[in-house]
Amino acid sequence: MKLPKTDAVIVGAGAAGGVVAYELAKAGLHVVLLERGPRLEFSDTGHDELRSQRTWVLGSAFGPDDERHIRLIGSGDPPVFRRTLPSDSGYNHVAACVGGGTKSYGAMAWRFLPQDFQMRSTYGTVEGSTLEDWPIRYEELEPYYEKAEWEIGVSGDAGSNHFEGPRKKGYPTPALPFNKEARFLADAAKRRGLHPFPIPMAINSELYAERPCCIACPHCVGFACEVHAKSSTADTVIPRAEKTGNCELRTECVAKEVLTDARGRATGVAYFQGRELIEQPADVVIVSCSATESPRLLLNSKSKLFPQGLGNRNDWVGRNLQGHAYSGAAAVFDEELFDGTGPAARVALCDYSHGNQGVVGGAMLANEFIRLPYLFSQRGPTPTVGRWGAAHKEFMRSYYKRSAGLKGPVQEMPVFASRVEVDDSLKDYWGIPVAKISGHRHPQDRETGRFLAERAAEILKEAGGRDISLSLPGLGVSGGQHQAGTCRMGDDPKTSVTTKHGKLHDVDNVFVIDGSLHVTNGGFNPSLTIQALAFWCSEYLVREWKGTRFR
Amino acid sequence: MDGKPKITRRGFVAASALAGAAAETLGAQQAEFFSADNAKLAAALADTIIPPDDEWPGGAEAGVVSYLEKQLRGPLSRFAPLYLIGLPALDATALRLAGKSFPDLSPDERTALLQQFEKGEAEGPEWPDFSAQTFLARAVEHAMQGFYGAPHHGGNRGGVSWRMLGIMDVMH
Ligand SMILES: Cc1cc2nc3c(=O)[nH]c(=O)nc-3n(C[C@H](O)[C@H](O)[C@H](O)COP(=O)(O)OP(=O)(O)OC[C@H]3O[C@@H](n4cnc5c(N)ncnc54)[C@H](O)[C@@H]3O)c2cc1C
Ligand code: SF4
Repeated sequence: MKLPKTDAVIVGAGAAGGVVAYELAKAGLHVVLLERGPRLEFSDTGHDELRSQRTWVLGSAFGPDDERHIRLIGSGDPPVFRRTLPSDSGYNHVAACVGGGTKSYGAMAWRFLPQDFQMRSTYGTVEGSTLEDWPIRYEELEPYYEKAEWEIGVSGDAGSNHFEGPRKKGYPTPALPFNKEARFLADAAKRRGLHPFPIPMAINSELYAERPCCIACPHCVGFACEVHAKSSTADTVIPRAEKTGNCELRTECVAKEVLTDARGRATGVAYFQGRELIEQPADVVIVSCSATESPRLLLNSKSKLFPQGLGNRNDWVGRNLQGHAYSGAAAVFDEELFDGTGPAARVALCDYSHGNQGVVGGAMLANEFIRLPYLFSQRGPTPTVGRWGAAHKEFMRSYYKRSAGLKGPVQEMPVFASRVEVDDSLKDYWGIPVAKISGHRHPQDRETGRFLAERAAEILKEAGGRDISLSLPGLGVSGGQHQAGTCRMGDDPKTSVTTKHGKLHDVDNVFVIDGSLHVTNGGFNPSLTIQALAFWCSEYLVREWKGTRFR
Repeated sequence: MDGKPKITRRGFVAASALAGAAAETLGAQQAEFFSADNAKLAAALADTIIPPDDEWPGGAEAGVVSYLEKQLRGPLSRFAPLYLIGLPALDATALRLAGKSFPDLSPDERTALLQQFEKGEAEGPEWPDFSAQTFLARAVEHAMQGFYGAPHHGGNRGGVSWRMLGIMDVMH
């Protein structure tokens, strides 16, 4: 079935896609927003650790489901590929619902630091890595960070992060208060001469934009917020886009390919609703499916002019898949630190984000989100007692409330061989070739990770922690919930996929706008940067639209 | 749990109300997934992974076996062969290495045997498809899920692990 033409079709209603829909609809474009998942109510997902987006052993409540999705995940060199379901570890998904990752995320809302945009200039070349500067600087993105903070709703204490780049405006709401654990760790960090501060969160600390304030429930990361205090695009920019009357959100619609004509311009998107294949013609197409599904869609959009897939003339689509090489330390304490309040991750420091002797980059260090019981049983600080048996049970009972950790999303060195491909030999429920993910992290990530873990251990020790255990990153396949980098933006079409505004170098009316654009992924959780970029790219797109470039 | 409780040969365990409920539910579902022998093995395994103590029940009484009964026919169905092959293999390995059927070993003997599993020292002809080590690793994860996860999944009877951790009030 072929539908009437629209101005713009956006694929993916996640962190970035929601922002783009809002910006375009506000500017008067008619927008169709396609989302493969449903619009979820709180009662659809509830508070169920084993089905959360953090511990999805019985399936991800926020999608994708095991029945219709599968991937090939390769490990080793050369890679051996294994069929992997969403509920297997290693599938590498963010989510599949309106709001994308922001429906169930932890909502830390970080600006990257100025150096994060200039990693190559700061550290030089790193062998075996495609480390590069971004085509834009922090200063250029700064106004869009501000826009994201005010549109999404971020609480924080402006100026408290000693290392942050210059900002023109504060946060719309003040920082959430420290919990007991944060106070305890902040004091220890200060005694060591460090600069702890409250984590900026996309969570209301007071009533803001008609959403209430956080009630400090114990289920935050991995769950939807029962009171909508946590800012999901499903609660902010997407309803605002719909309110303009210019945006039609179509849920449970799975894009199959971007269609092109004989001149090499996109004509629209083909998608499945149920089993029916529908064609949505449009003047401009925006791909916002996350850093694994966006390259998959481009690579599956093959035609005579684009036999390698759209935007892939130089074999860069799907390359440089990054995530974060999480590292840190955990310890047990004599004192009870657990007070049952969410989101629990409250304190951070950026003393080790850059300028670390002997390593490249670094990470922000933060205390952890509430670890619910099953997760704690698997990933708690259990260095000596083993994973089961009487000692493990005794450990759970004695220390569940007496433990704390500090961890950081270590900035990864991009690796060209770390990649997303498509595989014609395996299809999903709709008959679309699946994503095939392989490659490895750069050995440098482990060095940086060890450095960070040791610093975290020092702070825990200062706080009186015992039985300190380090967690170091593996060197396997990258990606994960902070996936990024697979459609790099850049000035040179030979070494990037899009322009600095997310437009494919190869096609005039197709944009990629999501985590895929990141040249490097910073030492921070990425969503605010993804959204700032979405505002930046959308502004360009609207400007070009008004100049009728796409019609 | 679905299905009507039935009086079974395991009904005699009903020393306490909790244990009684556990055994009845187990009985009701036995016909559908675990044979009587496998249910007995799964219970002994659950109690070795999470042993009972003076204050708090072990894995079996807390519902780990009913968690498996329910989930192996649902989201964990891909692990069904792991248990259908692994439980008898566990028993055969106990006979080979410790001279007794697994459930007949003392708790300490069962712990020692599983430590061999963990170290990769229990491999043998009983494990042609996957290793004893893999079997234990998955069984530990699943037992922890059954013990610490939400009660509506079949385990953590009455929120017993949450009471043990002192978080019943915050977990709803
Ligand atoms: C549990 C969890 C905790 C997190 N915590 C934090 C945090 O504290 N701070 C932070 O900054 N980040 C956090 N993140 C990461 C953050 O959510 C992601 O970085 C962000 O959502 C990625 O944005 P995106 O726009 O690239 O993709 P997404 O938000 O994943 O959006 C992509 C959307 O596209 C849809 N889609 C994909 N393919 C198709 C198709 N073919 N057709 C139609 N629709 C499609 C998907 O269903 C999805 O809704 C967390 C993520 C998770 C899961
Ligand atoms: S901790 Fe606050 S923001 Fe997070 S889910 Fe609970 S109420 Fe919502």
